[in-house]
Amino acid sequence: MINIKIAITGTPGVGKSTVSKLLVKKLNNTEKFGNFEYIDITDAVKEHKLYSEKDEKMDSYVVDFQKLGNYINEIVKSKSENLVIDGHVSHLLDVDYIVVLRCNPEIVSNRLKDRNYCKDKVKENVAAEILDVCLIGALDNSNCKYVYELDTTYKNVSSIVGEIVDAITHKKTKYGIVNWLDTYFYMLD
Amino acid sequence: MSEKWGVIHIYASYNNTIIHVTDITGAETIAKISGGMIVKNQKDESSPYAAMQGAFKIADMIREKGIEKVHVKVRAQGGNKSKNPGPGAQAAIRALARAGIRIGRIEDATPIPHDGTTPKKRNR
Ligand SMILES: Nc1ncnc2c1ncn2[C@@H]1O[C@H](COP(=O)(O)OP(=O)(O)O)[C@@H](O)[C@H]1O
Ligand SMILES: [Mg+2]
Repeated sequence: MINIKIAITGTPGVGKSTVSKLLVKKLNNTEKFGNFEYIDITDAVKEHKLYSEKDEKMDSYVVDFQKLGNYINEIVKSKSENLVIDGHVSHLLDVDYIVVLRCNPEIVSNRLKDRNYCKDKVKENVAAEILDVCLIGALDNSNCKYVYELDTTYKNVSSIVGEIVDAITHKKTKYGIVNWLDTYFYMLD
Repeated sequence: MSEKWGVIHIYASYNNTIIHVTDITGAETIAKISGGMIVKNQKDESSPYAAMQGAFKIADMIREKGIEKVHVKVRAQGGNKSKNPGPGAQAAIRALARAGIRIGRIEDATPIPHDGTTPKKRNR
């Protein structure tokens, strides 16, 4: 399989970077796949100033998608046409396959508190997880017809990566697999 | 009798819609209904139909408590494309208006993920 851009999306804290790094390693160790480059959008946006302004309250840079698109095209030209793009906005890009990672909102909340995010930032991210914001955004991306949603809760990283490789290999789609809103409504206010 | 205001919070996810009415401070719950209380089939819980029926029920429930006017706070990603889920929000607002509830401000409070980056500047 060649020339494929894989987006690994999901709310901050679900495990995108952990999973993406192992996924790249696994793809690069498997002969039938080409060489994959790994892009962490959050790092790239900061390092190469791919933003328009800063949201001071949330301590976050507002992504400039034009600049980010150009940056990714440069990597495609200079390094590899196969990419694993890690980030909670990756599903908004021109990609071939979108994996939406999900995780129990209580666990996400604890992980984000461990990052010392302010209270509002933890809450807003947790609300985004409960309300399926990344999933719905992925389904809204008309450039990409493959969306595969995966609940990572209590799963180990290598089995998650195994499931992703299988999904991509067989061009599987799957979504609508969690319903956090019913159970975790109390976390929204 | 003085007219009381309420706040209707509409939460629409891929699989469900919850309509929650509070007092103006947001502290006290006046009524709450979920898609699962309206339709039998789980896959229909987020449908516009469930949201509309839910909104009609909510209208009756709050009128009984003397509330005729509401501000609306929507937390629902998407709904701009027809294939999209989370269309419950628009359907609910239309149903409330049709049931004779007066709609004040409509606020979009859809959460946006942030790590060190964020897709868009909030307009709040
Ligand atoms: N499958 C998993 N099981 C247990 N812990 C995990 C798993 N995936 C990630 N984590 C932990 O969760 C935290 C957040 O993971 P990270 O990959 O940084 O998330 P993201 O990139 O989505 O923000 C890290 O401390 C990581 O070790
Ligand atoms: Mg990360």
